[in-house]
Parts: sequence; C-alpha cells; structure tokens
Amino acid sequence: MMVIDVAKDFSRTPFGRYKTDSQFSAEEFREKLLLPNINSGYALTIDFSKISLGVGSSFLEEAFGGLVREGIDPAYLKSHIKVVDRMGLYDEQVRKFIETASKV
Amino acid sequence: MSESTGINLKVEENIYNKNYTVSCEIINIESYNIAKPKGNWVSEYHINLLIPTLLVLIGWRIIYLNAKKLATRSESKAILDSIIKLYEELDNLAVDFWLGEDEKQDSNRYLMIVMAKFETLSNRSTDLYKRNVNIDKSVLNNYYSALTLNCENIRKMSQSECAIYTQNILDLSRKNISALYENYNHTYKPTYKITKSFVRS
Repeated sequence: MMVIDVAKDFSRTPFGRYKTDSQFSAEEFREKLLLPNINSGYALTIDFSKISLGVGSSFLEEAFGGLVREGIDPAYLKSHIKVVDRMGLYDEQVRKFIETASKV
Repeated sequence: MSESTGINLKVEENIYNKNYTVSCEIINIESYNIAKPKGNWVSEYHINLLIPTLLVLIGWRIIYLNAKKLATRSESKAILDSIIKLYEELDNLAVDFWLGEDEKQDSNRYLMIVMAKFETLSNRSTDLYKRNVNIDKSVLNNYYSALTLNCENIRKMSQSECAIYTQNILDLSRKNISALYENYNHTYKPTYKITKSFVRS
C-alpha cells in the first residue's frame, strides 16, 4: 500500500482546480502525484488530514474525476484509492465524483 | 417463658371467725423456649432495617438517572442549536457569495471561511452522533459539495446559474436541519402525552 501525505508531499494549502488558479492546484496534484502512482498496482491512500483547513469540492473533482477523464478505469480507481481526511467526508465525495465523471 | 397448665384452687372457711382461706396449688408447669430456627439468619429486625434502606437506595438511583437524562438532553440540545446556527451562517455566506456583488465574489476568501465553518459543523455533528442522535454523513457531503463545487468559476457563470446554486444550497440546508430535529426528537422523545394523561386523570 502506498500513502500520499498531501501536506508533506504536495502542499499544506492546496487550492484551485487548474494551474492558472494556483501553484498547488488539483491539476498539478493529479499530474505530479496521482498519475505516476496510480498504475503501480498498489492500493493508494491519499491523506488530506494534515492540510490546513480543507480543500474545496472543485479540487477533489478535478484531481480524481480528472483521472477518469484521463482514461483511468473508474472501477480500478474505486478499488485502489482511499481518501482520508479529518472530517471523514472526502472519500465518499471522491467516489461520487469518479462515478459522475465515468457517466459523462 | 413459662405457662401454667394446671391449677388447684382451694377455699377454706373458718366457721369460728368467718374468715376464708384461699390456697392455690399449681399442679403442672410446662416450660418451653422460643428459639431461633436453626439455619435462618434473617430476623424481623433485619427485615425491618433492610427493606426501607433498599427502597431509599432504589429511589436515589431513579432520581439520579432521571437527572442525568435531563442534563444530557439539555447538552445535546445546546449542541444541536449550535449546529443550526452554523448552517444559517453558511447559508448567509453562500447567498452573499453566489448572489452578491462582485466585490464579495472572492472565491479564495469564500472557500477559506466555508471550510473553517464546515469543519466546526462536522465536529459538532460528530459530537451529536456520539450522543445517539443519528446523523447521515452523506447529507453533510452533499451540502459541502453544493457550497464549494465550481465556486472558482463564479465569474464565468450567469446570474440564473448562480441562483440555481444558491437554491440548491438552501434546500439542502433546510432538509439537513429538519432531519436533525427529527433525529433529536427520536432520541429524546417529547413527554407531552404523559403530561396530558396526567392532567386528565
């Protein structure tokens, strides 16, 4: 199992959907951390619990819904990804965004 | 304790001085003792002492449990009220952002405040959940999505699109609040029926 600690490996203040919105955007996160590790075959845990405050739904949608748009199989994503955060809400949100992106 | 069972009473008359002499002879005395039945340690004394004490202890326990229940209910209501207040604050923020003037449509600022308040809301909801007031986490999820999804694109959206977003947020907020009250009343049932029947009797 691989763990991505977002606060440590990416940024404590990730924000925005596109690279034009912020230096630590969802697009940057997906390209730099998610895509290189997603096809390793290992289960991937993305830990948002140490970031300050939280991330907006747009960030989650772009980061994980964007994986589906990049061609990653939604079923593979659902079985290999787990999202952890302080509130215990992001995992369900991410699954919903993966599902929605797969239908488009 | 002893009891006489046979008495011989004799009265003699003196014919000379007209005096009477009464003599009493006890023929048979049976004596017996009231002894404690062997193997039984509980006497009337013990029963007279134990039962009232037990009743007092039971009474105290009932009063304590009732007071504890009332205090827990008050605390839970206070947490519920604070959650409702947070929902109202978030709704006001959303309305100001989505339908407000351009100066108020700073998505960074909006997101920061919403995320801070939402985290407090989530923690309060967890506190209430620990007090057996069931809360469906998915409704919080939907509300969070409604509040924050696509907020950075507000300047590219039309007024009607913003209105739709706002309506959705307010609708979810009202539904969540109703569900919270319902779950609270389910856990801490109102006692008005008992009061009515008491007054009628």
